[in-house]
Amino acid sequence: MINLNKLEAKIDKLFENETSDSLTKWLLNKRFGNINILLGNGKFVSMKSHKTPLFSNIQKPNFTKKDNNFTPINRLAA
Amino acid sequence: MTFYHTQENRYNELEEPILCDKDNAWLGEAYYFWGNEDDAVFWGVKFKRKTGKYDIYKAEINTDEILDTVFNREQYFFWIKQIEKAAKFFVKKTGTKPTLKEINDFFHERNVWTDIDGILFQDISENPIHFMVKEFQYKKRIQLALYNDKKIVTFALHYTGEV
Repeated sequence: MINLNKLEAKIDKLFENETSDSLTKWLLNKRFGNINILLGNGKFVSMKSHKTPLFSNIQKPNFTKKDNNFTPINRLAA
Repeated sequence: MTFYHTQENRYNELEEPILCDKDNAWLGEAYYFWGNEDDAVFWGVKFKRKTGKYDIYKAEINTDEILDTVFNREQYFFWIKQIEKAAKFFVKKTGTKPTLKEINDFFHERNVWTDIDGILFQDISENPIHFMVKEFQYKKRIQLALYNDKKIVTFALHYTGEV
């Protein structure tokens, strides 16, 4: 029979002893393995992209009002 | 208790299960078994296709010291509490959410899980033959992640299927 109280106490004790540095180092090694050894320890950085307003600075085309009197014949004449 | 272990048929009959250390193994490095034979067959047909055949091994396993998150109410709520506690702790200390595998690996490597032989857990089956009623999957897909292979009482080839 599993002693759940003993198991929980063990887990709580583990959390008490773990620091941000030790846990981050463990997780980086777990996720990136040897690459982390090569690059050195760092911290987790949010990789959420921000929406780039790619088209926000593009000016709207400046259309002029159509000249209803303009005909292809006028164009040719010009 | 009876469990099933699915592997590709590679013409050599296994004498013991293969340890799974894949990144997507939910509960970390362990011997994984299915609780239902039809889930073992479905896994073989869907994911063990390389050689055209799959083997299903049948095992009797002593589950006295298995954390039973499927049928034991007390152990299920204990499990939920510890996983959520660990997840919050990881976020607080590292600023990132852990996976279930990472939590279990962490418990393993820090010798927390040495008091248990494995974890019985469940998710929802994708097996179409389980969808016998409309709109709700009522059948659990039960798996055992066994950490202590000494708890395997018997292990033998049960069935070879073709994909």
